[in-house]
Amino acid sequence: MERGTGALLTTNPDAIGAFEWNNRFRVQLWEDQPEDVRMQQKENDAQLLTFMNKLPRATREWDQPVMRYSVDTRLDGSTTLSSVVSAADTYLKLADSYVVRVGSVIHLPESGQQMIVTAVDDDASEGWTNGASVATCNVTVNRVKLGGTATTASIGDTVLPGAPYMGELSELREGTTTVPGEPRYNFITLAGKYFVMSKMQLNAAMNSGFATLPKEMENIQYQLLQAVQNSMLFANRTTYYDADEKQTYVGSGLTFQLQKNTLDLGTLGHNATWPNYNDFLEPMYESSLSAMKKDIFVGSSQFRDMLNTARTAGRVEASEGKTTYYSPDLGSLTFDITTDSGYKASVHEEKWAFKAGLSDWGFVLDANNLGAGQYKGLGPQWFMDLQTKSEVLKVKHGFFMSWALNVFDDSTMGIIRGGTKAIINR
Amino acid sequence: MSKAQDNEIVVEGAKAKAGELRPDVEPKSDIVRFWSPLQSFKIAIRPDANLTFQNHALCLKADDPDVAIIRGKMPYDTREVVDRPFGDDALLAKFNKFLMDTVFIGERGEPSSRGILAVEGLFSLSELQNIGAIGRERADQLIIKALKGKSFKRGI
Repeated sequence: MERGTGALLTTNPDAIGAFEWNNRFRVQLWEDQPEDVRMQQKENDAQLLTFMNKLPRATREWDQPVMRYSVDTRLDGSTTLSSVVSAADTYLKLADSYVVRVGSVIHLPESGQQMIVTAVDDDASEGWTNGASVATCNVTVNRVKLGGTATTASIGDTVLPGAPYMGELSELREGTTTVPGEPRYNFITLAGKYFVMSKMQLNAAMNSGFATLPKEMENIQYQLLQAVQNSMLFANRTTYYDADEKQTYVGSGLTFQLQKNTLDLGTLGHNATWPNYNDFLEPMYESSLSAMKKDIFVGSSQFRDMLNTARTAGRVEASEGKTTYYSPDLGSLTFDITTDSGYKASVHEEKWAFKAGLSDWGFVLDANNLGAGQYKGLGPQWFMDLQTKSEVLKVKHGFFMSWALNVFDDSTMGIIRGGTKAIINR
Repeated sequence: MSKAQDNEIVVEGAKAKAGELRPDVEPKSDIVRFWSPLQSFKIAIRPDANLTFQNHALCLKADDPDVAIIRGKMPYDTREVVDRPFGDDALLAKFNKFLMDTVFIGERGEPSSRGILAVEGLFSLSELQNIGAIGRERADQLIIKALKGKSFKRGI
């Protein structure tokens, strides 16, 4: 101990002053704990995962790594002409010959004609040739019995099957059956991360939560959930074999599965208009499997563009007098829009998955047509004390999960890209 | 979308089903055909309208100003289809693989109807008139027909 002199100030004596060597005796204060500051953010960091967990088909458990499914949308009861028809032709080529059978009646409303089917050759193996030298006709017809004038008809004309008329002693006409839609498949993905901490650090007191066990567990879980969310968006389905690790399965992300509806708004923003948004959104509600309301997850730039455009067009539904609101379910800033035909969608700002270069991206999702789940027994979970027996001074914990995200009717969902990007990425 | 205004080429709507409607134009030199791997790809090219690929195809008159815009952008794997085969064997082989990968996306070597629809997008309806087969045979015939008569302007 040494002698000090003078009044006790925060800066004097030197040995215990605020500026003394290495702050040995001064307690340091945080204005707030840094991890608390971070937790004050309202946005949910993995809101797509939150959304997946709330899907009607969210909690599926599979016990095989490959799953199959098919999409059975409403079957069209009509077809079209795949070849021109002259006034004299009795051979037709239908896009779908299974709409009619022998004895069926065909209506061609565009040219005002009707005819009776006399034979069908579904695989066009007979070489039936019409007046336009199309040798792959699949239907022969009688154009006299039902009256009317036989005229020409064009490619693409609508073909409607009429009632199969019967005479006094007729037999019933043949019908056709239906089969499941085209089979699809997806894989269940496994993924996990771990961290290592020394046992000295495990028991060390820290001024904040950093480098403590709870904080490290939070870090690892957060890292994995963010990464899984990214894979859910952008992974391409694949599987590969490694001699040591054996078979790896990677399930499809949304971009891989949503190959039908994509809107490119360019980069300047002047085409990010309501007519263009509306034209893109409305066909996604046509399917009989479509939900009544879509959820659109967008980056910050796209969120701003859609909000401004919809607000200008008067398509934002106000909630308590405000256009945007905090969605507690998803932890996002949200607004609701209505298309010209009255279909509804909620637009959620997803700042974190769509940041920087992706801030003008957006995914239109349909809760009725997404299935999510995990391998049985391999849902999100911690594996503790993974260190080996010789690693006596370490602790090693890991977080693991499995998941699959299946798109059923892809006509009900889509992807938006482009618009204006912010000068500053917020 | 129909571009009926301004007396331009009309691209009619279609349903997502193999063999159904698609832009019906003759393979003449005054028509430019663009192809997209996305079935209903839309490009917001003007404030009042999107250009829409119907069943993977978009046909425009060669003097349509939109042609230059799309050629300039060629977004997201969009290709311009020309009515002549690749002259180089290596490119032809690559084109064959491209078509096969487009059609045979399922398991057990079966063609997918969505893949067939995508390859049909290389052709006009009149070019498809004499392809009568269904299923695997149709897929094979489409690929052969594409190899013999189509290529992409800027290669694979």
